[in-house]
Amino acid sequence: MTISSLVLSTGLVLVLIGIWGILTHRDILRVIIGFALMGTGSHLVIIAIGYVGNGTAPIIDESLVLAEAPTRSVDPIPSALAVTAIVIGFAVTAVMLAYAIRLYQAKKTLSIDAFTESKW
Amino acid sequence: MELIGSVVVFIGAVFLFSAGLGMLRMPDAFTRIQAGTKASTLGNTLILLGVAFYHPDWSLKLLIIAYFVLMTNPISSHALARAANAVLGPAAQSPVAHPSGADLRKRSGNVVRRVAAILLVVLLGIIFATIAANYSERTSLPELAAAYVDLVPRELGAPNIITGILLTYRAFDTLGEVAVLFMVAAGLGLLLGGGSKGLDRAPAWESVKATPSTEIVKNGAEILVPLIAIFAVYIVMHGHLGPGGGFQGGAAMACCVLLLLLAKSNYRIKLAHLSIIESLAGLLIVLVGIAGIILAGGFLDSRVLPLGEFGAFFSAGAIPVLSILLGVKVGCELSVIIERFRA
Amino acid sequence: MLELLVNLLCGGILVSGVLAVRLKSLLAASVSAGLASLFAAVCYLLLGAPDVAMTEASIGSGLSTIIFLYAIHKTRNARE
Repeated sequence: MTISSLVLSTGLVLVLIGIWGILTHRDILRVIIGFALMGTGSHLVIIAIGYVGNGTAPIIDESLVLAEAPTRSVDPIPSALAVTAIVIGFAVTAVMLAYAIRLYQAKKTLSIDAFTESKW
Repeated sequence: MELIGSVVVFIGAVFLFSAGLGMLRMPDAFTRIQAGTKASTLGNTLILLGVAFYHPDWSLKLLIIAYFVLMTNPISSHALARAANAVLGPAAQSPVAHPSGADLRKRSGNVVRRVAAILLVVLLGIIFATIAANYSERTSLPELAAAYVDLVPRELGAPNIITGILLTYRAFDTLGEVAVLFMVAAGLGLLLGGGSKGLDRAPAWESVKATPSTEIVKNGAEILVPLIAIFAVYIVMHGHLGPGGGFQGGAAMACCVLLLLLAKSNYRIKLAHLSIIESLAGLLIVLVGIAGIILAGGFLDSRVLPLGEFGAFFSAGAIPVLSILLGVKVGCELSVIIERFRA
Repeated sequence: MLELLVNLLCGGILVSGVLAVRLKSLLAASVSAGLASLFAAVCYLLLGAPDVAMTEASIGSGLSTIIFLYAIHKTRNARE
């Protein structure tokens, strides 16, 4: 198995583990851990798709001269996407945790069963 | 003729949908029975009427079916209501579900929830397995990537292609992302801050007195914090020459601030100063962008400054300037997020 | 050599992911999620994306774990 397909499968399995964690737990903080795992898994999938066989990083220095850059470098676009995605994923996790803290301060419990009448 | 039939069938479907919604939303067994019966009977009859417009020669059969529906629905709902009265007791004055009914619902709800979760994960697993099986590793770059790999060193003079993409060709997305971070930092101020005017402040005995940190953390921080700060500045300044750039340097700077906060437990960051610094950095980024419109190709075009020699420190146009501003802004915003959580 | 390293790292990612949803202690679960981010950062380096590796290492396994720990600390009276 090539390394990029191995990393792709690992990323997809991590997304599944994250979804399982979100659907199964009753504690809000464990649900947020599931979201964080799902995010990490999807970033792995993005980077794995951009790998070119036996390629190297798209930075031009003495290991990748300008003439052979188009043939030997890895796709730079998924890397640029993933940098943005990781930072925004962290920001979303921070907002989710802030909401969890406020919900705890309002109701003194973290189980999502206590908040069912806030749905709909 | 068919148009009228379609409209009537649609109205019947709307009534059936409201029946389903009512069965989910009603709080009590009796109200659920009522919602399920009345609306679904009307919905069924309307759908049968609509089908009669499509096939006029079936009218007699449809009339007989409607008669059966009208006869059986009220009788069955009456039987259900009598059973509910016998098991659950008469309906309470307030529309709150009877405890034993709610308990039954919760227990069967858990099993249903677990089975639905397993089914969803298995279904997604099948879809993902199809994706992974059809994937084959690339052997050459796609066209857009090959164009970027060719353009960035030539037109922008930056050896790091990713920084060139993030800060010139896709600089508008970077600006949008920085705006999202700014909104998150401000929103956290609303959610977690609010000193004496806060809404549901926790009572005073719950707020923690800061415990002093241990020897190892303090002494280690004295050595590491300057090193990490210098490393963060290095990453930002060499963003166009090697791996690095604004985001990476900003995140490293936030880690340095975090170590400082962990070591000195009674240190409070002046959030007002950080807000002023990050707003100024954001304003300067937009000004550089507008200078790009006036002096070069478009908004946030980095060719406002001379390109210089390839691989030198002062080169690649305005990319180092943008990297520094971006690093300052991202570092300040991440530090504000950490400080809001800490306080 | 590269394949062996990537195999080990992917195994590490999966093990720490499973631990993050199964461990009883919330503290250990959040640290395990940070560990999965760390292994993922090394994977990014081996796949030729050093910028992403830097970002993921500092944000995913540094800052994200710390704010989880702060949130656990602020809600500690919910778990007696």
